[in-house]
Formats: sequence, structure tokens, C-alpha cells
Amino acid sequence: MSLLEIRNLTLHYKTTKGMVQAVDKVSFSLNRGESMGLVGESGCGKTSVAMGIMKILPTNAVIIGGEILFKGEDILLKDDEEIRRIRWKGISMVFQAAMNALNPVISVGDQIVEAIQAHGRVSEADAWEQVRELYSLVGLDPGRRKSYPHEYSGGMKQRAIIAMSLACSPDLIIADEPTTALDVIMQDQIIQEIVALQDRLDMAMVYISHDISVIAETCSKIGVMYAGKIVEYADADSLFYDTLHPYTKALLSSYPSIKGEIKRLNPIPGEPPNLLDPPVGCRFDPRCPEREEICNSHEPEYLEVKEGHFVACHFVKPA
Amino acid sequence: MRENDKILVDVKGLTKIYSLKRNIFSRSREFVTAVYDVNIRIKNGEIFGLVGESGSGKTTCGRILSRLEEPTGGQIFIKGVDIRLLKGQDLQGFRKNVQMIFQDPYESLNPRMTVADTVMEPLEVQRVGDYEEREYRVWKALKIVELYPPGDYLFRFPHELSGGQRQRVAVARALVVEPDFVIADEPVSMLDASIRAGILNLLLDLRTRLGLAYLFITHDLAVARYMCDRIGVIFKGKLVELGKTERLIGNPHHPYTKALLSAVPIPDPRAERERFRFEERELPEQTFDRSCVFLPRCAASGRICRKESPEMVEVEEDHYSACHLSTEM
Amino acid sequence: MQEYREKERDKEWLDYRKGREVKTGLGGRWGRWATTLRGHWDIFKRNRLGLFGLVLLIIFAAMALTSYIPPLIDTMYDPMTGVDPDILWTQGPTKAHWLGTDFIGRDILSQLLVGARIAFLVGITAAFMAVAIGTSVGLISGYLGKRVDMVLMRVADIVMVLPGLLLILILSAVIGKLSVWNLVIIIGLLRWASVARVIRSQTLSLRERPYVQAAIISGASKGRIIFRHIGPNVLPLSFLYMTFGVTTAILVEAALAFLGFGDPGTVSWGMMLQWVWKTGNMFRAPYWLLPPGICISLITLSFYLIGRALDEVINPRLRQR
Repeated sequence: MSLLEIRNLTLHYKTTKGMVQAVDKVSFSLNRGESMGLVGESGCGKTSVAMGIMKILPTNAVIIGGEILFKGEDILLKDDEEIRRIRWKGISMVFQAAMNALNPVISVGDQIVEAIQAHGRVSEADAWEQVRELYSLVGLDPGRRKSYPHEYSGGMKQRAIIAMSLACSPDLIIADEPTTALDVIMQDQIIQEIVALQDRLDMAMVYISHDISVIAETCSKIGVMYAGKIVEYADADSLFYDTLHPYTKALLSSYPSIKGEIKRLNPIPGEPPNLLDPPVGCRFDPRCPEREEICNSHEPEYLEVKEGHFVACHFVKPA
Repeated sequence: MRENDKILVDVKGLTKIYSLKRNIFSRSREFVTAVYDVNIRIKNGEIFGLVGESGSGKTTCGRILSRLEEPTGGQIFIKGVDIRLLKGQDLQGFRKNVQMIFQDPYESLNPRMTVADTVMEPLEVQRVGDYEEREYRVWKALKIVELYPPGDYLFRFPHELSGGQRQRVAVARALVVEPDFVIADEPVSMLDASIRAGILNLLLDLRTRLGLAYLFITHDLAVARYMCDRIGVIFKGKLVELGKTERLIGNPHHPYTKALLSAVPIPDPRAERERFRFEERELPEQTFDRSCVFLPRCAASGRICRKESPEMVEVEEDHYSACHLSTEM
Repeated sequence: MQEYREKERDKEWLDYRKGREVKTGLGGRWGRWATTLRGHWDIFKRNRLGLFGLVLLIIFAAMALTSYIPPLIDTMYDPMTGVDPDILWTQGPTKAHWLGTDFIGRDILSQLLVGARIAFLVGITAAFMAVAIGTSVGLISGYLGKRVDMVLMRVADIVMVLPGLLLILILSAVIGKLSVWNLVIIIGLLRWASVARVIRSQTLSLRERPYVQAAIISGASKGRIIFRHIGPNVLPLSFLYMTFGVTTAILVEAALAFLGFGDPGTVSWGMMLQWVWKTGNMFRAPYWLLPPGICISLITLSFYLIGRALDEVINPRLRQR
């Protein structure tokens, strides 16, 4: 049984202008200890999927259908009390702007102790001991555990947040753009830390980013999202070297690299569709270089075309 | 000397020190050095990249070159004129030659002005032509930035445009007065990958088509490599390495450049990259008079680094580095 | 650049020009404004209390307009000078006088209607004055900064701590009875400072926006930046303060009139209350006391509710999803 399995998750947001079809029939599964990257542009629904897994969706979100099975139980059916028990202990999350979420008037250590004690009967002294261990685990100086957030640099705050999310040794960690606000060097160090920890603690991880190069360095499996759908899903190597979906191809050729020869970048023409009224048929159709008549009217099925390689495109069929 | 090799921008010893009052009552002031002794030359039609982390002073350099801020010291010659001395009419003329593109396309357009009003503003202010002439120029500028057909965009408000379209409007506003020099301050860092490539290509095409020179400010070395002819790496307000793009990236001399390069993620799961040791230590108060700026983070510092701040030295043809150890090697 | 000199030969441009002329002059600018307003109205509309306030306001506006009618029907309905020859003392509602008459037989309903007119006049002009002064001072102070800012803000501080009502009382004692217009001016001069403070802080944040800096780089003058770029972006806030200012102005006028410092030549709701009180009918003639009292409460409530709803329109963070 996989640790996390999402089946046909469909999620809309109610707004004054109508229903935003943010996530549409997203399915994937994740085994214990595996790392999976979700990559896509802003507004493609990747964060909504993460919030769905944690069940921290905003009040105007409507779940139209599908299930999120964590250890075989549907998270969407659980009440608040049951969910609270799963958060932190089962699944924990590192947010995009998490480092700004630290309370400025409480010492960082105290905030972690509070999180530990909120999820189990732990004595104050034991909790502090645990903080000390967590600090050395994420590469922070344990001597600094009583400092206040403003005394930490951005990278240190993000490490502290990671320490906090590890406090209850979760089985699954969701990292939503954890390095976006950091400088390149800091980003690199945090990425290395996350990869090492995930490996050492044998956690499963869902890593969400807009940057496909960060995903390439962190995850063994990659799902590419576009306009609320997963369009391609494969292990990292096949996704990069045996790319099948036109969107993934276009995305890969729109990134400049620091290595290799300088090739002219290929921007994808147009803009991502408005999800209030997404295109009929394939959602990538209006921007696709390989589109044909059928794309305009029929939605492509999400199929396993090779072992472990899923694609939703009319022109990629199973062998 | 060919026309192309003429120096357009010549920055000598640029320094900016902010003095902050500790509080209203105390007389003592705190000094923060944002930029220290920066020397840059940009030729006609050249794209010069200024690369650094946040807080490195790269944006301050751009703001000073566009005269949004006054430098504390140094000279800046643009087309041979020292821009620090410009006033009144001459300053107005300078504004026509130097334009700027900002980072955040959601903040750089006035939400209550239509695209036509926004792009026309520099023309109105500069009193270029009559209304008819201005409208034509605006229309043409929108066409150049590939907002096509222009008639569909002229009377829209910013909130009706996507991020990429807004950034194109911002580019059109910068172009409409036909400048020679454009300062682009992280113009694509807020945009999605698929949109970003379009803006980068547009800026490159405009250089070839209109002969513009850019100061391209970015934190992203991969983008800098794609865009720039030469790159200057700035750390804590000081230029530490400067050279032709391919040489600087292929054969970096300064330890900071090496660290930066080794931290750039590569979009290829098979790529193994060597990681350059980089100490994450707290940086003490900046002291520019004595030691090397990079000393607190440097893994390979020698005795001399503590005593003297290194000068920029030509390590190869047209490639400068400010490190005691890289020149010794 | 050569490209701009081909205007006459650029066929596409000529086509566009032709199309533009066929449509509407410079085109849909007004149409755009209309859509923006529509959007704002859609948000406003969802606020029930705001709508209630608007309905109340419309009723009062209707009252102010109908106030011209009664004197035309019969001169005895004139709110100030009209006297019913058959009635010499205050009397409850009758067929001829729906709300009754006051101590010398004047029609209370016509007084009430005229009172609405005065309330609007005082409230809106005084608030408009305060907001106009406050907005200009705030914009100039915030954008120019340095010395100008120092001087203007110190003046604002002084005005802000002045005890307003007391000052008016002293002034009226010194000058004698204040006319409604003097009152409007004084309220305006006393109320601009808080608006200036708010607008200044908004200006301070707006002037650092990239679009303002882009305008500086194009060579725009200070005046242009203040009035073209920053001004329109603080106006919604000024407008909000105006609705709150109206409330205060109406209350101040009513209070002054009630205390006997009002304009004796004008019929206002405060004046009506003063007459009830002075003639000793406070507890004997509820038909006379209640209408102006209720009207004062409701009109201030209506402006307040509208202000709250507008706050939601201009301040997206307050919006409910």
C-alpha cells in the first residue's frame, strides 16, 4: 500500500466571478521514503494540491470529487480533531513564506517546544533536548536555540522551520517552494539539507516548485502540472531524457542553463488559460506547437504509456 | 576606434553610504555602505550584467545610474557627461537617454492609468511631437514589444493584463523615448519560466534592432549568462570579479564567483556538480578599510586577506578579480 | 530611430487610425471608468448594511428635495415665517399639519424637510472642505518631505489637539451669532488635520512604488507626480474620510444649534431641538421632539454605514470571500 495516494482530486474555488477550476482530476501515489516533485507555473494548482493534502484549504474552496488516501484512509472524510492528529505527526509542511511565520516576540526554541508539546505528552526538559537534536540535525548551532527570529538570517530561519516540521518525525513532508525567497547559495544549502534529511530519516516528500532545475536536484519522481492538471508524470531521468508531453518539452527549453552551449530559449506563446473558463479539450491546446483538430474538442486521457510514465496527450499512446 | 566600441557609460569609484539616525534624539549616526568603489565601463550596444545576492548593492548601482539616488562619491559619465552635475533642462535631456525597467510588473504600472497613458507619459513630459505623433510612437512601441495588435491593448488597465504583458508595457514605456541605455533591474525574476524566456528574447532582439546598451541587474547567473556580454559580480557593495561572460563562467577566479556558480541548480538530473565550500558564518560589521570583504565567508583565506583589501587585478585579458590568492596562483 | 518617421506610409497604423475615428474619439476611456465603477458597485452591493445606509441617504435626499414643495402649496407651510392663523400654540398631528405644529404654529413637517437640506449642505460642504485641504496637505507633505513635511505636520498636530467645540463656542461668543456658512468654514478648518495625517502616510508608501519612480525617470515634474500618479491612488481613501467627516459635521452643527449657538435665521434639526427645549416642551410634545432627533441619528448612521461599505471596496483585505 502506498503511503499517500491521490485519486481524481478535483477542487474548485468559489469567487465572485464564478468557479475557478484550480485542480482537475489529479492522481498520483507516493511510497514510503520516496520523493516526488510537483512543478508548474504560478496558478497551475500545485499549491492547492498541497493544501488539500494538509486539509488547510481556504474557506471558499470546494472539493468536487476524488480522494486523498493517507495510509489508506481518506483525509477528506476526517473531522477536524482527526486531522489535527495527522498534521505534524503524520504529515508536516514547510511553506513558501514560512520563515516569516515565526512569531517575532517568542524565541525560536520556545516555538519549537510549543509545537512538540502540542502533539504529545512531553516534559519541558525532554522537549528542549529534542530541540537540541533537531538543531544539529538541520545544521543549526544548538547554542542559538534561545535566540529570537530577528537574530537569524533568512537561511537560518528556514532551517529552524524545517527543524520544527521534523519535530514529530512525520512520515510525509510537504515542501512548498521552501527556498524561493532565498539567495542562490542559501537555496543550494537548504536543498542539500532537505535531500540529506529525507534520505536519512526515510521520509516521503512532496516538493513543490516553479523551478524545474530545483526539482531535478531534489526528487526522484516528477509530476508536471499545467492549468490544474498533471500532464506528465515519470521518474526524473525519463522526464528529462525521454520527454513526451509538448508542455514539458516547451518548459525544458525555456530555461537557460549555466552549463552547455547557449541556445536561444523557446518561450511558450500566449499565456496560461483563465481557469474560470478553461479551454474545452486539452487545456494546453491554445499554446501547443503540436496541436491538431482533436485537441480542440476532446480532452486527452491520462495514460501510462511506458512503465511508470504517465502522459495526457492525444499523440502519445501506450506502445 | 569603431563606433560600437565607444564607451557609453563610464563609472569611476562609485560609492554610496547611507547614514541612518539611530533615533530622533541621539546625534550619533550609523553608516551603512551600500556600494564601495565600483568601476564599470559599458560600451555602446553592450549588455553588462551585474550579478549579486539580495542586499549586495546591485540595485543601488542601478538607481544611482538612473539618478533616482545621489551617489556619495565617484563619477558617472554617460556619453561623456558627468551626470552628477546635471540640472534642469540638461537633466531632462539625460532622462531621455537613460531609462529603467523594474522588477515587479504588478507595481511598476500605475493601476489607474491605461496602457496608452502610461506609455505616452515620457513623451508628454519630454514634449515630443504633437498628440498625433505621440500616439503613433506609443502604437509603434507596443508593436515593437509584441503586444499585437496595439489597438487591442492601448486602452486597457494594468489589472486586465497578465504579468508578461505588463512587463512588455514597462519595456515599451522605456523604449518610447528612444534611449541609448536601459537599466533592467531583475526584469524577469517575478515571471514564470515560459513567460520569462519571451521577455529575455525581446530584450536581446531590441539590442540588435535598436542598438541599445543594457545594465542587466540579476541574481540569476544562468539568466546573466544567456543575456550578457560581460558580467560583474558584486558582493557586499564591492565588485569582486569582472570579465567576459564565457570566461567568467568557464574559468572563475574569485572564490565568491566559484561559490555562486557551484550553487546554481542545473535542470538535468544526471548532472553532477562539484560544490564549492562556502562557510555560512555571521557577517560582522562591514569594514572596508582593512580586510577583504569576502574574508568572513572565505574558505581559503591567507594572512594577507586580513590585512589588506584586495584591488581589482587583470588576471587574464579583460578579466579582473579582486582576490589576493587568485592572483598569486 | 528611423522607425518613427514612417507614419504616413505605415498602412497598419493608418488602418488603426481610421478604425479609431469610426469608433469614439480617443476610445473607451469613459467606458473603462464605467466598468471599474461597476466592479466597485458589485462589491458595495454585497454589503447589506451599506445598502441600508444608501437607502436611508436616498430618503433624506428626497426629503431635502421635497422641502421646496410645502411653502408653494400654502405660505403657512413656510418653515420659518409661515404661521397657521388658526393655531397659536403647539399642537399634535392633524390633517393640515401631519406632524403637528411648533410653539408659534409653524408646520413641523416642513421644518423637518428643510432640516434635511441644511444637514446635507453643512455636512457635505464642511466635509468636502476638510477633505480637500487635508488631501492636498497630506500629498504635498508626504511627497516633498523634509522641511515642508516638518512644518505642515506640526501645524496639523496643533490643529488636531485644538478643542473644537470649545473653540467654536468662544468664537461665536466673540463674533456673535455664527451663520451656517461660517460654521461650515470653521468645521472644515478644524477637521482637515486627521485626513492630512492619513493621506500623508499613504503618500509615503506610494511614492516608493516603482511606477512613481518610472515617472521620475521619464522626467516628470513634482506636480505631475503628485497629481497624476499619487493623487488618484489616494482619492478613494479621501472619499472614505469624507463620509465620516459628513457625520461629524452634522453632529457638530446640531450640537451647536441645540446649545443655542446656531444660526437663528436657519431652520435646522438642531435648531428645532433647541426650540423644543427652550419652550419647555421637551417632555410634553414627543411629536415635536422625536422627528428631528431620529433624523439626526439616522442621517449620521447612513453616512457611517456607507463609509464602512466603501472601506471594504477600497480595502480588499476587509472583503469577505
